Amino acid sequence: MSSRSEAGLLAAVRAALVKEWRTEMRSKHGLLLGGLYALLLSATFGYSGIFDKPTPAVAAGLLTAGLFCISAVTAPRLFLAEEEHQTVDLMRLTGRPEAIFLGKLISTSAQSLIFGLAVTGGIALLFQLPIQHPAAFWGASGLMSLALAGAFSFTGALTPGAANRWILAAALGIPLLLPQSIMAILAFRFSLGAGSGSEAAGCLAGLAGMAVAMAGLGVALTPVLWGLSGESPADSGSQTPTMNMDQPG
Amino acid sequence: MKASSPLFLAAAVGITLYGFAVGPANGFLAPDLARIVFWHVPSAFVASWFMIWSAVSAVQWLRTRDRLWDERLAASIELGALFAILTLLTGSLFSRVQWNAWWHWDPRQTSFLLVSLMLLGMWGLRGAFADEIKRANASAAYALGMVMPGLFLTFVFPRLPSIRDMSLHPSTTIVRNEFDLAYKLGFYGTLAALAVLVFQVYRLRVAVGHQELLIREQEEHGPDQADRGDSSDYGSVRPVALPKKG
Repeated sequence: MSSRSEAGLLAAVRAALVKEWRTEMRSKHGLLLGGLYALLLSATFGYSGIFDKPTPAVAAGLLTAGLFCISAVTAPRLFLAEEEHQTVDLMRLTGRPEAIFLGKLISTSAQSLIFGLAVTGGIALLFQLPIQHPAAFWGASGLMSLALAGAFSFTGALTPGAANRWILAAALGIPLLLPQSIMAILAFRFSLGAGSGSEAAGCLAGLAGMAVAMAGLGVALTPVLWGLSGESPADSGSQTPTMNMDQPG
Repeated sequence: MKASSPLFLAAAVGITLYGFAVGPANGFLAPDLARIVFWHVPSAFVASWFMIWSAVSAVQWLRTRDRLWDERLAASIELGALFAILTLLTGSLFSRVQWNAWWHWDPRQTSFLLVSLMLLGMWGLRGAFADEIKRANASAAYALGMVMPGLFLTFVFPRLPSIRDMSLHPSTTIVRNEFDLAYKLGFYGTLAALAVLVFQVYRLRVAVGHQELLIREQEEHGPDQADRGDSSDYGSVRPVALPKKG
């Protein structure tokens, strides 16, 4: 990519990010819901901790479940929501698809990260969890938040135009998200004093890899996915479909 | 397929009879049922191959825009899902006899259930788009998205130390070559026969999909336009040269 087109892409990403930020500031939907859920989850888990302290494995499961809830509510402007608001076509006309995907991903990741760290910190504080390895704890919290934001953004970009698109996005997302939850549970469990360090390190690397992979796939494939609703694929940088008559096997 | 059918039939009968002839495995609660390994593990292998091949087909579709690659992707997903379900069913039967429960939430069972859900989810995705090109693109994207978690669940997760230690499921028998000769023959024989069968079925499925595609193209554009690969699907207008008057 030339430096000129890189600069163009950066400007487009910045514009998409500004659009996301302004929309968020207008309704504060994600911020309010994220804050509310973070408070509610921390307080609920904290109350239950008055009676019994959870084992590291159970606490790891609760922390991961908390991150799932937070990510689900702090991703309010996926492509699906844009389609519900009938703003997808406007975006398609005005921006580069990869830039809009990146803008949405960065915005979602930032919200998911902030509230993810808040909710895991809140749960740890109110449960008085004995964090033995803070780096693993905060690493798992941050990387899981980013990996979830990436997976939500990716599956959200896949399904616009499909029938039953919200249910479909959830059905497609669950198998993609569960491997991440396994990795997060193992990393959190180690941070609370159980399990092995090398396994936790592998899981943290896996979470980082998933976050990067989902982001990369989203950036690479959004132009292809977008090139189909109205204009020729050639307009969005892909080739015209053909059919090979010779080799059916 | 026609020529190889009797050969495959003979192989299938031979392997099944061999499965009854080979002695029961020691160290199992129900040693006779250990023979299920001849079908259970190869089915899992085949499902995993198709999951990987679906990602290869997805890359090829996105790269070449040849619709045959979408047919190959669809065939991979269908056969992958079929063999994933067969793996779960045979595993569940073994679980009932060996561990006294149809479903044990064993990590290996659970991880393969997720792989099956991914493959079945792809069916749902393909059914949700009326537009063929949209469907092909969305399923190619999902095939690429699912390959990394799928590989993790199939090959990495069951071998993580803390998971391996608590799992009832044997996971090193093949890697460490722990089968005795009779079981080795049965296992690899079934694997080879199954590989030949699924390859033939896959070829047939792709050929049928290809023919359906040609028929649809002919219905839409007429026989002379069937394979021009033009952009009429997208409603775009192309400039045409008009003959000069006079």
